[in-house]
Amino acid sequence: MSVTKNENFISIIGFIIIFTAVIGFFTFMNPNFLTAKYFLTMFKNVTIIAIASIGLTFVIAVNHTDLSFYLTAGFSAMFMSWLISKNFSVPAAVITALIGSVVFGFTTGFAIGVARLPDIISTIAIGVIAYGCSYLFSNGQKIYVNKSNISFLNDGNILGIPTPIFFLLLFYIIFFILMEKTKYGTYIFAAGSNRIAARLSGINTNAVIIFSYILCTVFSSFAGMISTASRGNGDVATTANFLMPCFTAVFIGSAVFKRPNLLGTFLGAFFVRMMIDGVLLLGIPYYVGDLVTSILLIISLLISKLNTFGSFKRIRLVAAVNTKGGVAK
Amino acid sequence: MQALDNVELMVKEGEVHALLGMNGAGKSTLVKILSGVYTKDSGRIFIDGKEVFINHAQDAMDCGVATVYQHPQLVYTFTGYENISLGEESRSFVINRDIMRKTAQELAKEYRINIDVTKMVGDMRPVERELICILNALSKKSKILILDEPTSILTEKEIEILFDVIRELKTKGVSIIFVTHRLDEVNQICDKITVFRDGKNIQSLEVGKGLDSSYIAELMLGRKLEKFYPPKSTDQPSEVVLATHGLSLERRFVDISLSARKNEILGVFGLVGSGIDELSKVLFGAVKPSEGTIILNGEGKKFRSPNDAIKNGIFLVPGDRQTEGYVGDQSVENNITMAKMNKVTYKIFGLINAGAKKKDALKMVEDLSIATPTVKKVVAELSGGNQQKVVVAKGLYTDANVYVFCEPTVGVDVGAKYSIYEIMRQLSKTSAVILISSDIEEIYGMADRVMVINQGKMKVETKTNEITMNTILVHAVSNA
Repeated sequence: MSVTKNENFISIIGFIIIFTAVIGFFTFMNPNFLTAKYFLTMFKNVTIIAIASIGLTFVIAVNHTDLSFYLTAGFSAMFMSWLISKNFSVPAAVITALIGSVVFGFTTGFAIGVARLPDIISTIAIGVIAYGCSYLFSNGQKIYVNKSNISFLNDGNILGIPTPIFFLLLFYIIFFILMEKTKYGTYIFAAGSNRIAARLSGINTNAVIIFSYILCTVFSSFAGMISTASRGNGDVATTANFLMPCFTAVFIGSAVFKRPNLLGTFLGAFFVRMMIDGVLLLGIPYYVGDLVTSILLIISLLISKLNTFGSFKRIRLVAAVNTKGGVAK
Repeated sequence: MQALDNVELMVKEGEVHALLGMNGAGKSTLVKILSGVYTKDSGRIFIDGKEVFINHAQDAMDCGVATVYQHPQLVYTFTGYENISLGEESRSFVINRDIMRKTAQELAKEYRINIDVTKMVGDMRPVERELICILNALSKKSKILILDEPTSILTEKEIEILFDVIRELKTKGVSIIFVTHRLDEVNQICDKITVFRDGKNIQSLEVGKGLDSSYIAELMLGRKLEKFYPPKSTDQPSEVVLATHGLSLERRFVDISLSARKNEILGVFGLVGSGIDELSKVLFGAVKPSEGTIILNGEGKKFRSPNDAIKNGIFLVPGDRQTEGYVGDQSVENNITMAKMNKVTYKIFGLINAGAKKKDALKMVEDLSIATPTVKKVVAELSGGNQQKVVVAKGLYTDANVYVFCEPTVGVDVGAKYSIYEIMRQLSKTSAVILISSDIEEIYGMADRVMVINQGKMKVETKTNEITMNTILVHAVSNA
């Protein structure tokens, strides 16, 4: 079950070609696009989307969806800003706010895994609850944070690597291994593809679902905090633009590698952000970026769907042979 | 193989005609052809002497043939009268509910069906839902009514209500094809029976003073048992490994007490819907019993989940392998090791030892001779028999002390079937094996001891060599 198996060869090559073509196009339109300075800025932007998408990849892998994470992330960012404005130390504020996001993630996971509420509606509701709660900290205002306190999250270095990129690499390596190389990864994909069979194989599917939702809120919240650090103020709107790019990143990855996976999500995040920034660089209004993202999402969903249709066909064929008394080969 | 082969069925006006047969005898196929779900390959259908052509559900309706299934297809959030006139709403754009309700009530009165049609179907009892379905058919002027195992989910009182309605319908000249397993009902309500077996009609009989149950059972079973099963156990059975006392699950089964030993396969026979599938789930901790205890090695246990049961050394090969048995888009090796991944993970962080996983899976593939090019192949692409072997392999990999097999050979080709039987026999030497099945030949051929469950109740428990296949069947189908 390696993500880079031969079967995916064609779609990977296809992705690389499109990727290169897009870079080529933007560079042709504006030579600044390929400069090191610009690329570094873009990479920081990628970081935020990429980190925010880690948990979502898990939620999609267990065959659910989350429309609350970007609002929960806003809540955590506001919570952290508020704590810092009340003179909490940065680590304490970050950790406390992340615990807040765990509570949201657990609630969502419990509602969907154990209580079996429909995921789309419940996560919309829980998201709006988080959105409402985040205003409690500020009465609807932005909270300005002392930038020198928190700038480490955005501008600092760890082992000579910019902090956000350090975290990006750290998280992606750990959770890529978790998803692809540990039994927990197997549990997640098994629960996502056949929940009953997974449960009858002794897998605690409820725990798997809750775990995925917690990851989703925690990572999007952490991304929200980095975003706050780069802006210098806690604003409910900080994370409002996470939703579409994150979904697009996950589904581009899933279209390229035929199933949700973190390598794909990372490339997807990079691609999405590159499209948005490229469009901005061409002097096209920012809202066109949203438009481009959403079109990308639909296209990648379509490709994923075609992939599964393909396998459905195969399964049907096999089933038909079986019922007609075909002899096992 | 043909599902139906040259069958003949003649039903007179105002007759209740029972269609009997074991699972897979072709009853359902005929029903589906008559109701337009399937299209026949050859043969002809006549109604009132005129040939009719039923290719779609609409054709059947036009010919006046209506089918009431076990789980009636109704809109649960609509009222009874709305369901009765479903598809037959008045032509005007605005629906007049008063007229709809009155029409429905008059129809019910005409056929002396006592039912409150203003109730929501979701709030109705199962028998009321069936009556609504019948009324819907009558509102379309259906003259032929097919009832597909209508009594299997009804209580005895509810069955009486249904039978009264059927008697009334008879006097009004409606012909009824009554599909069933249950012989006692045949005696009560039917005028004639036709027995199907292996897609052929075996015999049609008038129901006179009463039927000889064992004769009918013989008709349903037909040929004697072939020499197909591995030899039975000759060793002395061990101490009881798994026992249950008064195990019950609300509305499914009551007071089941069984005991499973090594060196002996316990067969639990019951028809589809008799509660055997639920019993297997309860033994495995997937469903909590409403009463009763499970005793493992002399110790009372309460399993909180299948995970808990696996830890205690129980494994279930579930009845529906596609939805319960395997994860279709995962590889053979992942499926085989899934229930006991700790055997192939390092101590830290649950990291998988890919080499060990492959090696273990390969060994299983070899031991059970699962036909797959590699262990990386996804299970959905294997044949039914090999898929089932993967599920069995998953169980063997847990090294359980108790194996419960529920319908292990449905949709499995003959070769794989035999090797699954051999595996079970082999397993029974080291573990307790319980075979739960609605396939009577399988039970008779495999089990050393057999018990019968009839409508959720335990009927008989005996050594297999002290009972005949016919007697087992009679216990499973009659109300004795």
